[in-house]
Amino acid sequence: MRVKVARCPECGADVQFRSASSVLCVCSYCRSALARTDVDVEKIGKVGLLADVPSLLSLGMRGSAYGGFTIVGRLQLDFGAGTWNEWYLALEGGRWLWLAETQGRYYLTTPVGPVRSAPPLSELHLGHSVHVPGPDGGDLVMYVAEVHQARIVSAEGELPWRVDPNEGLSYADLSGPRRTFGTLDYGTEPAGPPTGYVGREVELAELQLVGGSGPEPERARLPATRAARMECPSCRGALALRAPDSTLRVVCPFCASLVDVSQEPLRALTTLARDRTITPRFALGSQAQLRGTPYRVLGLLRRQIEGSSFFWDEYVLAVGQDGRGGFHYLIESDGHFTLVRPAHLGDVHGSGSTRRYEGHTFHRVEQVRTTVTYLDGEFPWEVEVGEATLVEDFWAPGYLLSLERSLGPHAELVASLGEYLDAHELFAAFSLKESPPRPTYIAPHQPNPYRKGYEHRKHLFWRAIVPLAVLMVVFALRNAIMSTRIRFDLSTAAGAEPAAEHIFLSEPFALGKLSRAAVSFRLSAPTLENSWLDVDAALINDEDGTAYQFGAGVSYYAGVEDGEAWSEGSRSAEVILPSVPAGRYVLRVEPSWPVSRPCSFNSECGPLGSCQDGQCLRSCSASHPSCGPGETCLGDRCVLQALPYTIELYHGATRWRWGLFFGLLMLAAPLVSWLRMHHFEQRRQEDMVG
Amino acid sequence: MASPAAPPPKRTRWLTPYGLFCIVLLILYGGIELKGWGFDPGPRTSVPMSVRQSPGGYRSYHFWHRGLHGGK
Repeated sequence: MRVKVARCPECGADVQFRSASSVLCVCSYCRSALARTDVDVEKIGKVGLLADVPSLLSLGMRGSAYGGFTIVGRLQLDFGAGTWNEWYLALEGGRWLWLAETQGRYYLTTPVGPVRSAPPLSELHLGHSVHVPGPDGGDLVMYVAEVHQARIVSAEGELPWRVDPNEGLSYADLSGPRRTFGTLDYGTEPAGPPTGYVGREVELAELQLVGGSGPEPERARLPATRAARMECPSCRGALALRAPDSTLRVVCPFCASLVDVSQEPLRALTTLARDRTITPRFALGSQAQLRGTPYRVLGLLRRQIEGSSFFWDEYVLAVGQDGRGGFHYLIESDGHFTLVRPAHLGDVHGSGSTRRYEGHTFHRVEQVRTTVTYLDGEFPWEVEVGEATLVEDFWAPGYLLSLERSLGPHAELVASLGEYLDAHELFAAFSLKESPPRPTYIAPHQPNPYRKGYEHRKHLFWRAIVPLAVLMVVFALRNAIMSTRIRFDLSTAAGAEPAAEHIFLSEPFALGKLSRAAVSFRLSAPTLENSWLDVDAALINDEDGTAYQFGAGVSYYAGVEDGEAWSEGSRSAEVILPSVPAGRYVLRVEPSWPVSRPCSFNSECGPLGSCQDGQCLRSCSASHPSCGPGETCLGDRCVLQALPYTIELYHGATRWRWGLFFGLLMLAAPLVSWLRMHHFEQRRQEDMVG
Repeated sequence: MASPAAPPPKRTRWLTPYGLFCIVLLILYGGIELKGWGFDPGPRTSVPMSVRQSPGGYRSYHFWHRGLHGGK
């Protein structure tokens, strides 16, 4: 890198322009801002002393990333709520990059030239989408996260453009997809077009830094830190800061003054009202490890929904010991606990009542306006009681996506992602002995406690029902092939009381294809009408004398009443004899039947009949039969005709009913789980609406 | 976002009360079909050899009636 050396016109000291793209240089001796001209340098003003903003970076540091660069300049800006550093990185060949440093985070951007599609500053609003040229020549859709006016506080080293010290600049910070970051720099021309800068957040390690400021590279310096112990400007009490490099506001534990510690001398802004009823559940300064990350509790604030008594507590958590790893938040709301970390606004897609982030879909819960009503401890932003925020929440199972729009003079739109925590796990992490409070409602993002069990049982159900169905089919096929079937066609005797001569005894038959199986005994009387038939039966093993005794019966009644047909009973019946071994068998059947039509009332027996002992007595003669359907005149009496019936034996009957019954039993547990899970979701919806 | 908790290993999924219940039902069904398991609808008796070899045989043997003389 060729170095141009010039002489400061104010004090005569040598000033160096290390980068060909540098346009301005600050004399390190007299703080004059010197602009490079064709011939020499021109003094354009004076630059104030650098503000005490701790940083790991310094002039002269080199990095091997991006083909090699040198930190040749720094700009300090203040937007009224804090001062931050912006570093000018000079690359080989005249190219350069900006590295913005704020609250321990770094944003590396490259200039993309005028953004002609950007509207005038007055038309920009939070969440506005802007098309910005990407660094690779493509087009990026980015969203406005902040619109501010900043003042140049100080500078050192070289800068790539002329800046008027103490001039005000207007700018908008953008958030884009895949964690891209951008800035629209309107400078002193709010009508535009602004100069665009596009890049992304980086980890310092990515820059592969070495060296320090000075003519010779040094070993990397330790970061300058503010004093961890300070004095309250109001009561002189000791203020012990746990995150001294990040804390901007602290509440004095002695006099409850809200102290601004962002710069010397410290300022007591106001005295907060003490609320003795509020005790931090997680003590300030306590530490815990959550989700593999170490945290330290720095501060506590309470937000209340305007116009409502509903509130929640937010604990500011420093990642690591002192916040150099950033800040997360622990929200406590009526027994529900959520761990919140910043989300990248540019990666939140969608509109209306739905948002998508990191592959998950979130549904809108509500939008509320909140106010800070209580403060205690340390805070890495310029918080105050009365700070107002518009919060829009979206939920997904286990997660809460929040879009927060600050309503103060330093408006910005930020996104955060909350993860629902198990209260017992949280209390154990903080070594709290007491039991967590029981929630009184279901939080929108509270995981359904029955879902896991339901998914498990549903998964097992399908893994079990399929084999059951396969077994049923396999056994049905086996029985169709190998079962033994025997059929007997029998009949009752008309007009005769059942007696010994009506006992049926079959010839011996073999049941032999299956060594042991159930026997299905099926009795059917297809022409049975308003009557009944019973059998007492025995299947007798002709070899060892074992007799399987059982009974079966059929009855069927039908009629018309008030113009409507009715029927009851069945013309067939089945009895299963379990575990019958193969062998030679004889079937003994002892039937019983009514001689005359069964009845309960005289009216059922016709105009000429009467009901006696449950049977119709109706006289008839050969010349005047006058018997009903299914009857015949025998002697002088109407009697039932002979009833044909069939008996079928199946050795190896398929037990369908057991298969279906077991299938229903298997279904019971996942069905109950589903009902519980569904009921929980119904209550969640009711609580969200309520 | 944190990924959901990993499911338990497959070999342990069946070792839950519900899993064991399903396994038992499958075994029961297999036994019902293969061995003809079931509940006896009536008593099992043994007919003496003397009855089987008598002239009337089973016809005259008085079995226990189950009392199904029903109808309406």
